[in-house]
Amino acid sequence: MRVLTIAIAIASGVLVLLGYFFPEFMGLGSIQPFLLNTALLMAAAAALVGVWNLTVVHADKIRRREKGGVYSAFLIAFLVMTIAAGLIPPGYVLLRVGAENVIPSEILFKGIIFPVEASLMGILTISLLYAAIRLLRRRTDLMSIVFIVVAVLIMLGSATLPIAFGGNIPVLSSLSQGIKNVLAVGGARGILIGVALGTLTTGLRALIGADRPYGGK
Amino acid sequence: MSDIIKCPVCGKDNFADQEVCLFCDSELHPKSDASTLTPGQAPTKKNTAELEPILPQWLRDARDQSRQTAGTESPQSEEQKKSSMPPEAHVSGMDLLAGLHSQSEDDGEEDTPDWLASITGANNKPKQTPTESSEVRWVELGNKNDFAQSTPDSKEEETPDWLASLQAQPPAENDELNTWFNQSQSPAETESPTWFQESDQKNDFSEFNKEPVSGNDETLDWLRQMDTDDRAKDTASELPSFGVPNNDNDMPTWMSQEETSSPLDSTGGELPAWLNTMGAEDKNQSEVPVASPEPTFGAGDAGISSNENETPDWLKSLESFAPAAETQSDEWTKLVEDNTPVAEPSTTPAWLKNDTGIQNETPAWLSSDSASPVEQTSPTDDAAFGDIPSWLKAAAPQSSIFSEPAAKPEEPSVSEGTDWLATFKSDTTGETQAPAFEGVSFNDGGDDALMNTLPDWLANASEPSAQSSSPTPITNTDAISPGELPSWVQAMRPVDPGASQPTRSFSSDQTLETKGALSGLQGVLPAAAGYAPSSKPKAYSIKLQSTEEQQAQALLLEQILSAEAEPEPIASYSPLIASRGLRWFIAFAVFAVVFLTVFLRTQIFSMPFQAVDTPNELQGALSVAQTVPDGGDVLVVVDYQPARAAELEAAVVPMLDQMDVLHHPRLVFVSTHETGSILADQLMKLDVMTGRFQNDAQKYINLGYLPGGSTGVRSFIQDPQQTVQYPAPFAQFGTVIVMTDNAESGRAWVEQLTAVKNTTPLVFITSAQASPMLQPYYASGQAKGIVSGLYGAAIFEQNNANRPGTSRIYWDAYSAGMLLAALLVIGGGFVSLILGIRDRALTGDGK
Repeated sequence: MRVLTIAIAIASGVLVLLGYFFPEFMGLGSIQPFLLNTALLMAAAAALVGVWNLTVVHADKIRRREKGGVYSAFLIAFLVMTIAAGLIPPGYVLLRVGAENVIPSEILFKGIIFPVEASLMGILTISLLYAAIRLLRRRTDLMSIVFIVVAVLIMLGSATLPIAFGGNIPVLSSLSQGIKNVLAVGGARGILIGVALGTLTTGLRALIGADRPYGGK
Repeated sequence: MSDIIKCPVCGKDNFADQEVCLFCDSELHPKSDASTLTPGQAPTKKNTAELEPILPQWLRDARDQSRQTAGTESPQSEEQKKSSMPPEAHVSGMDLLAGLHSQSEDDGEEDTPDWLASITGANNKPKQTPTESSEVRWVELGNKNDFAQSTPDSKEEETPDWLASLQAQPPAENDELNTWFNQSQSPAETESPTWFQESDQKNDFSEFNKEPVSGNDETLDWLRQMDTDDRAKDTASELPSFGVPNNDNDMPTWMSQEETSSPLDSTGGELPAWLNTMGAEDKNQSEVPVASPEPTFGAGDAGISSNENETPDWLKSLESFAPAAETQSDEWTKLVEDNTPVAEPSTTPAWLKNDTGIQNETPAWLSSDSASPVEQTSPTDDAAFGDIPSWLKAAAPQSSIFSEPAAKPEEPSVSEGTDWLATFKSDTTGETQAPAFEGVSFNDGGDDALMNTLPDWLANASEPSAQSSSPTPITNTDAISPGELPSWVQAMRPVDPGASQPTRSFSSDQTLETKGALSGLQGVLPAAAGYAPSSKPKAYSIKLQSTEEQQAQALLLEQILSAEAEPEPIASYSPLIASRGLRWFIAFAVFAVVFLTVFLRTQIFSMPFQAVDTPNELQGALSVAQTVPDGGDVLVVVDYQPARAAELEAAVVPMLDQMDVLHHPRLVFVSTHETGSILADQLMKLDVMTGRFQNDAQKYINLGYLPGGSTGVRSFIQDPQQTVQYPAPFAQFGTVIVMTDNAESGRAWVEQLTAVKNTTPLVFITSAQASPMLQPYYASGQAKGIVSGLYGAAIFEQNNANRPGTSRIYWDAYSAGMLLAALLVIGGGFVSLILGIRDRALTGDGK
């Protein structure tokens, strides 16, 4: 079985790769979309499998009455509610508030997901600011100082002064743009090159069977 | 017992005189098989006349011719031999070389080998009677036992032929030995041999010694050595001792045996009588006194008396056989009685004197071998004996015998019948006991050198002295007839292992070789000393031998290795007490500033300057928005989290507003994020978008969620209809706007679009956090523009106539919050730095 999975993985990779270089050769150009669509379906099925696994795990916690089982119950409840809200057809009017139809999924998004994530982002802002202030008390080294100085420069460069104070900060604005467009982009380019090489290596290892992310030793 | 013999057939006893067995009538004395001649077996005469007719004609003719020639020339040839033979040759027949000469004559019938002919210088001669060869055998073998063989008391039929011929023939026979025997008969009576008298008369032996013999190239080295020995003895007599230490090990074996052997009675009796006599005379004639005066005379008497019976019988018979020699013996006796000091050279036989006088007349065998070095005869090299032919061994040492007595004091010999033969015994004893004999080097001459020149036959003659008590009798039948087996063949003959080994004393190793070419030889391959292991192998312990220091180091290494496996505690900082007040202060300050600016809708802060702060990527985004095809589809990818919705919606609205104002495109939304579809709908329901797209459902299409990540993107790009059921190909999109707050999502869209060589312009609407990671794609041209966060949206909005104004609503809150955060970081950081220094100072003091 393990050999079969390896053969399928390598064969799929080779066919897709050859489809990039020789799309007209032996119908490789048509084989490639088929394999891609198959991968999409398998990914979607994997999402359902993940949802099922999540439900089973938290249901087990509820059944065992473990600590935090209440949160598991809320998770399963809202999971079912969200799935049910998503199964409602777009034209079906379930609830009408005034002249506007109420879509259940929008209610869940606007009432729960969006405010929660926005609140977390606001808390993150407070936390990062607090950490920056306390950093120099725990670590008073060069990198800590550099980190704080760069953060201050970017913040000052991204903001403007009140109109009463003349608007932009001339020097800091240019300095901030320079840091973002030179230093930050340089670092990001290096990271991307490394990612590309890593992706290439991973692909080759998957093609030759040395790396088996699909399972097997 | 000797009269009873056993029948070879039935094994029963019979009388010896019986011809056939009384019991089985078989022949008691079977004829020996002529074809198998065993060593020592005497040849049997056979009458072959009856076989004459069956011989081939050519052989019979040859035999007849030879008979005729022998019959006519035989008497003449004898005379011619005598006349043609040089006088020295005849004289030499009196000494030991006579045997050699006679041997050459005896062996004449046989084809003498070339090498032997070159040495002897004699040609093949007619075959002589085998009786003459017995004497030659005595000379060759030189063994005392040979003398004992010719015992006269044996039966008449067992009498050797040579003895019989001596008895039957007159002394006038032209044989060399007979002549010498005849001459020596008178010395036998008067104890003065003829050659001794002649040497005395001539008295030129001293001159012989004085003569540079060495100058003669044709003279043997042992003759020269003889001269030097005499001179050395002269010097040695004057010296009290020799510088050379007395080392018995340096002496040859035979000499050592001679020293340890019992003296007179045994030693003298085993030497040839005539040789003993010569030695005695030489010793008597020596002018130089011996360092240790040895009364050898008396001892010699005892020896004579005791060993008189051991005198070879053939010599005894000769004493009574030649009465004509008495006159010569009288002269010799007179000379002895007068006690006239006889010079050393006087002992030299006549043939030797003639040799010294006539160098050109040196015998051929002597001249041919004169070039042989003296070292070959050195007793220190036992192997040298083996290199010399036996006949030469037998012949060469006579000179040393003659020169030996030169160092001995002259003793008046006693004329007591045949005692002259036994006087040598006493002299020999005196030699062995004389200190001058020991320690004399070979080069210095002397007795040691003299004895070194003795051949093996003489050594063999002296060796059996230790075995004189039980001499090994060798019958005449055991002897090998020289006529049948030449001496060199005899030397090569394997020795019977059962036979006595006269040369056993040459080596202490008595190992008998039983295989190979050396089969039958004994002691020729002595084992090396120490060949066998002399001690038990040393036992080595397998236990590790280590010192205390090494054990300590090993223990330390073991501890290091064990420490590697132990978990190392992670150094942790002291827990920093959370400043809840600070956190509340920060939260309150930020919340207050943001809420005040938002809810108050203040426009205190100025917008970024358009001409100064507009970056290039933003200029690209503006260009793409302005070049969107009219009525074309614009793909908007919604790949951001709901938390980033405010930032990204504020960033994308000005661009969508511009495109809608300029070209009225249709927006197609797709998302690789699960909440993207809802976010797209939420975007389109913004207030700024209400006026344009709210009542026109055809203005935008929400394709929903695109699963599979990069694979889904690739699939959507290749075939949108099959992937998300979009009715048009991907090239239908005039612009691709990717709204993302994640660099990975933006990279996936860039790579997949580049792979299909899509020329559709791509613009990123990103958050300020992800903007730096997507900048490289803009720098490489893969992306046509980037609108980054609220800062970019503010600039884009200013380029869009400040429409829709969303950026402006958030800009005061944004700027106020950035300034507050910067101020908090700077102020709080400074305070924290001071507190940290204080804490570390306190911590350091505490430690």
